[in-house]
Formats: sequence, C-alpha cells, structure tokens
Amino acid sequence: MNPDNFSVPNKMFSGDSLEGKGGLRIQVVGVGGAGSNVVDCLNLEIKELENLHFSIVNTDMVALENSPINNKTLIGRNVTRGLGTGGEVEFGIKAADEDRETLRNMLLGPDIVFIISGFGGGTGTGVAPILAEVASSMNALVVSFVTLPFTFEGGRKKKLADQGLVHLRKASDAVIPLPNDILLQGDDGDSSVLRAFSQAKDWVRTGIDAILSLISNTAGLCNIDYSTLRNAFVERGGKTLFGVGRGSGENASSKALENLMLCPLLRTPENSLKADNLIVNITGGPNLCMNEVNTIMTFLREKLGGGENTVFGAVIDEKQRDTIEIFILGTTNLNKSKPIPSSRLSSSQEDGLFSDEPNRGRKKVRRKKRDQEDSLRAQGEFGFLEDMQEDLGYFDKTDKNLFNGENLDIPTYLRRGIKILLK
Amino acid sequence: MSRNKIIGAVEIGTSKVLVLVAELVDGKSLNLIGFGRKPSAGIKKGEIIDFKYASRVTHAAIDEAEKSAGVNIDSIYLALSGGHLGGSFNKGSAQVSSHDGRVVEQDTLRAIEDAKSKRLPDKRLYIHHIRNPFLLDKKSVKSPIGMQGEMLEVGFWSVHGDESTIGNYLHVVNGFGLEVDDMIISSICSGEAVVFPATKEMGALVVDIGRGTTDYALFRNGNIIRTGVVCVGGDHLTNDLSMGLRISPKEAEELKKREGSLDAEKLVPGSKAKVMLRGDYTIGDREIPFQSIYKILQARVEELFQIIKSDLGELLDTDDLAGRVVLTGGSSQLTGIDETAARVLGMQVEMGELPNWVDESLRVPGNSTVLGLLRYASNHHNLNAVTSQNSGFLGKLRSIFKPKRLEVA
Repeated sequence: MNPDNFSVPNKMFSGDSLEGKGGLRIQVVGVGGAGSNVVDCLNLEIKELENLHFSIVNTDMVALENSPINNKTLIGRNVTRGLGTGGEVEFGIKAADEDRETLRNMLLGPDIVFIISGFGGGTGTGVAPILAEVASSMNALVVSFVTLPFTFEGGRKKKLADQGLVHLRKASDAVIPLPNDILLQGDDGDSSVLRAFSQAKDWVRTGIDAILSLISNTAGLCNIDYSTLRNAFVERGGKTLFGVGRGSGENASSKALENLMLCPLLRTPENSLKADNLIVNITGGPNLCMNEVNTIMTFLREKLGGGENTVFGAVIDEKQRDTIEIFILGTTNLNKSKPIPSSRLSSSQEDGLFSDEPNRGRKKVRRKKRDQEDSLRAQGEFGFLEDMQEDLGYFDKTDKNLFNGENLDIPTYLRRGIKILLK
Repeated sequence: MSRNKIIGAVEIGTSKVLVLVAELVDGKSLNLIGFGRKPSAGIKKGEIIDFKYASRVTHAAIDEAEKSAGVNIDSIYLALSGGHLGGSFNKGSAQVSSHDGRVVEQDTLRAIEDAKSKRLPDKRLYIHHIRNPFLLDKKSVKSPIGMQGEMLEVGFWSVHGDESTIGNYLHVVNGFGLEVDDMIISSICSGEAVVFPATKEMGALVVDIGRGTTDYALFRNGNIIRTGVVCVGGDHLTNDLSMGLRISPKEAEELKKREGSLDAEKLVPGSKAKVMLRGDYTIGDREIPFQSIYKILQARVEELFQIIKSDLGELLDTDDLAGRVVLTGGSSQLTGIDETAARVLGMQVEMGELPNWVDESLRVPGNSTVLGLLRYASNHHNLNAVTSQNSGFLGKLRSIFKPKRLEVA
C-alpha cells in the first residue's frame, strides 16, 4: 500500500452503472477557466452517456471556443463582451446574475449537478455560487468541487476564495474544497499548473465516481437510492468532509482505513473532521463480506461522527479482487447546537471587552466581524462559518494569528506549498 | 524593612507554570529558597483559554513552591506574554525653558509627560514605559540636566496589552489569595537572565522561543528599544509535524524531541535517510523520511525569524547593532536552530547561558523567563515606590478588577 498514491485507479465509468436508473440525469458543469479545464480532462476519460452530460460555462469566448466540450455557454456578454473578467469577482457575479435564464437553459433538468470551478479568480468565484443557486432552484442535488488558490498567490485571492466559499456553501448541498496547497502535497511530480489540474481532476473524478456508484444498483452488496442520498444532505452552509482511502492484500479493510485517515483532504482548515451526516461508499472485490463492512462502519462512526444520519453503500467490483476502497462524504449542520466547551463560554462572555485594535501588522481577530449580513439567521450562519474556518486541529478555538494576512496557525509548509513525502 | 521579604516569581506559560520563591534580605541580596513547577493546562499561545484549569495548575505550583520554601509568599511578580501585547514608540519634546539655556528637571519632566500622553484605545492598558536616552538638540545624552541646549526630546517604547487578558492573569493569582506586585513582559525577563549588561551595551536581540509564543527584546546601548511577541512556538512545530506527517499530536511531540533537527548536514542531498516514528519498533511504528521532518520544521523556524526581522525592520539594518542574537526558551533546544537564526537575521547567534548564581538543576533554557523575572524583581523592588507608572498601572488594574472578582466569587 502506498499512502502517497491518492490518484484514482484507471477505472472507467462503466456505463452500465447508471442503467436501470430510469433517466436519473447527471450533469457535470465546469465554470471558468480552471473548472473548464478539469471538465475537458474528465471528458477525455469518460465518454458522455445518454444521462451523463458535460458542460462548461465561461465569460471568456476564446477559452470556450478552444474547449472540446459540446455544451458551452457564454455568459455576461453585456458585462465582459466575451473577454473574461480579468480576475474581478464583481464582473463574474454580474455576468451570472444577468444571465440566470441562460444558466437555467444550459442545465438540462438534471437530478444531480456537479459544479467544478477554481476559486480566487473572477469567473469561477463569481459564477459558481449563482449557478448552484439556479441548479438548486431546479430541485437538483448540487455537489460543488472547488480548487482554492495557493497561499503564495497572495491574500487577495485567498480572501476572494473564502468569500466565494461562504456563498457557495449556502447554495450547494455539498461543497468539496480542494486547496492547491494540499493537492500537490505528497506528490513527487513537478508542481506545474497542469499537474495541479490533473490532481484536481483525479479528486473530482473519485468523488463523482463514488457518488454514482452509490446510487447504481448493479453489483451492489448494499445500495442506496437517490432520495436517500438527497436526505443525507439535509442542510446547507456547513463544511464538508471528503476523503478516500485504499488498501489491498491481507487486512485490506484496516489498511484502507489507515490510508483514509492519512488522506490529505481530511487535514485542512477548509474541511471538517466531524460530520453530522455521513455517506460512506465501500468498493471491494467479490470476497467483500458484510462483516468487513460492519468493522469499517463502526470505525468511521466512532472517528467521524455521523451517528444516526449515516448512509452507506457497498459495491462489488469484480476487477478489484483483494482491494478495498473507502469513500466518505460528510456534511455538518449549521443550526444544530454544538456542545460548547466551558473555555469557550468564559471567553465569549468577555468578548465584549476585547478590542479590535490592530497591533503593528499582526492583528488579533476576534470573532466579531459580521456587518454585511442583514437577517438575524444569516448573521448566525455567517458567524458560525467563521468559527468553523478556525478548525485548525490543536489551535482550534484560539484567536486567529494573522501576520500579513496569513494565518500563522496553519503550518508554514502548507502555506508555502512545500511538498512533504510520507515515506 | 523589619523582616526579610519573601517574593514569588510566577510564569504562567504555555508549557508549564513555574514559581520561584526568594528571600530578599535587607532589600538587597536574594536567596532562592523554593521552587514549584506544574505542567500547564488551559493555556494556548500564551493566553488563558480555560480559566479553571489555568487557576488549578497555577495554584498547585505556588503551593508546591511555598511548601518547598517552608514560608508563605508575601508578594508576586508575574511574567506576561501573549499575542495581545503590543507596543508603540512615542516621542515627546520640550523647549528648554531657562534663560541660560541649561536643562532643568522641569524640562525633562515636561518632555516625559509629552511622550507618555498618547492615549490608548479603549480596553488597552500600558504595561511598561521604557525610556530611551534623551536627545538634546538631536544628540543623545545620558543625563541632560545642567547641559546647554534648546530642544529636549525623549522617546519611550511603551508596551501595552489587552485589559481583560491581563485581568485573567491577575484573577488567577488573586484566586490563591496573593496580590501581584508587578507584571513584567517575558522578553524583558529573559533578557535580564541571559544577556550580560556588557552585551546589552553592545547591542543584542534576545529571542525566547517558548511553547506557545516567541518573545523578543532588542537592546541597544543598554536600553530596551523594542519588544515583541510572535504567537508561534514549539506547539506550532508539533502541530505542523502532526499535520504534515499525519501522525497524532503526541507522536509528533515525541518525534520532534527525538529526531527534530535543522541540521542540514544530516540532510545529504538526495538521501533517503529514514527515522522511526516511535523508535520502539512496536506495532504501528513506521519509517518517516528525515527530509520531511526537516522541511516542515525548517519552513516554520525560518518564517518565525523572518517575522521578527520584518517586525524590527530597519532597526536591525543599522550598523550600531554590533551585538548578537541570544536564543533561549524551551524550544531553542532544537538542534541547528541557531544556524537558521543566523542565516535569516544575518547576525551572530549564540545560545543564552544562565548565570552561575542559579543552581545547576535550574539552568535550562525554559527557565530563563522566571529566573530573569526574579532578578528583575530584586533589582526593582526598592524602586517600586518611586516609579510611579508601575503603581499607577497596577493601581488602575486593581481598581478595575477587584469588584469583578467579588462577583465571580
């Protein structure tokens, strides 16, 4: 087992996995330059099926023309004249807002929409949340994958991406952030942009693959249906937990679990490590038995939470032989009252006494910046999200530690994009 | 003084609470008579996050120290750190008023008054006003009174902190039934312990790398001209290792202590040197590339010194600072940290040595702050009555926090 190897095995979408689902339509939409690129790559690997469609949306005419995807949509003609946003999120938002109808027409009434975009620029950051809103209004299950900029790309991009995330989380059923800092972690290859795209693509594909195989009813030891999947995403706005682990040979299941716990995406500030709703998909060879499934589920429930709201599927893949792959997707609820540790209580009582006085470049940020939100409920959500973003392992629940816009509690190697080998 | 006063030096740190008890004989010489030490709880990055736990361990440490000394402490000196601390350089000036152009005491007082008059935002308190030399017509003078000139200027490096954070510390000590006589920021304490007066005169940057924070103070011509706190310490090294190598915090802490090193010589280019995660070859022990440990720690430590460098800015650039960097604090024991510091700061670096009046068993880098605090306390004990800003600061704090304490009780 190689813990570095988080790339997806070269397994094709088997078209039959969707058969018999009676027109369950799935649409994969790439938004902006980065999103389109990923969808272009996916399109090469997965052939379009009757009920699986690829589309791209952009504000940049030239980029659209260069893409091999058939279903392309240019938005914001009046805003950008087809020339792209030049990194301005306002243009992206305006373009999408003006062309909500166009976006609605672009969507083919799908049941599941996967939105793929890169955050930090203009089009992806601005358009993806609005596209998610439009798709949700059409009653689709919306799962968004977003790549986040490298820390060394600067504070501005990071800030834009964070704002975009808050918006997107409210508009999607699940948001899976893929920080570039992490994508190239534990990777020996060159850290070129292309490499980052291909990594992002692999993760997106793993996610799409797993969700689809969950609801496919062929060769399943234990399947769930579309409505069960929908029910698992009861609430919006929270963080998502997303990870994959693989193991093979003797004790494949415990190796897969170990591998899953090493999954880099489980250790980022943007992702959660606890879930209120948990979806697990286990793929194994013909000898996968319910006993193994049970062991895995017990372990995951204990580690990640999920409790009552855990759904799982187990799929038999003849080709996998003695390999087991575990995929987890979890969401956190916003409104459920979380037990607050006593330390928190005392500090929040004194919150009012703290000042926001900047301190020579290094600011102490208290949990107190929420002016723009109008409704009370939205206010609560926003505040909570801010808290959630402080999910920093040991430094969780301490004051943010900012220096020149960088949070010093996040490991330096992550912020600098330094690659760390695990073995 | 009718009887010898017993003073306690208390550091409520992120890793441990240390209490030293000393007997001040005739207000002059100092006998170290008691020692208490407890691992901390409820403190992160130098600030109290859980009042109950922090109180419990602090009280236990004071209790231990009093028992080992066999006497009760009369008054407490407290070291203060944390990211809430800030500072500003304030200048004041006064026209020399007398007819003959000679400076009189009134002029110095007016200049000082002017410099200290800068008001802080709400909920911030001054902790120290550290005076820098007077400037008489732009020339630095040690004692201006009696000298001839026109314009007298003076600068203060003023350290301030968050009112409620400081209040928390006072509450913890008050909860034991003791008063805090004075608070001194950790960097000044450490400087007192590991930097010799001659080195301070030459210029020195003392950097105390603790578990939760890194505290530094810059000396020039014997004066403290800048202090600061970076909320990065050994806990960050551990957390980085834990996240980067995906190991538990406990494993990371042990790995850091056992294998952590910034010694580039161990890092032969392209080498595949491996170290064991736990080193006991039990189930679950596995190989980890040394290179990865090195990279994670190196990135963090480099960044730490870069932050200090950028904080100090041009103060470090000038040629006046012929001195050196003195490293201390528990996390300064990381192998090779001095070389990284020297490379980033471009200065000569040495590891701080504790003076030999301290018992050998106490001479470890993690004790610098509390030892320096005690020394500071003994030097300044008799001055307390004269330096009005001290009593003013604490007087203000006491008046603010006393009633609250009753509410809490």
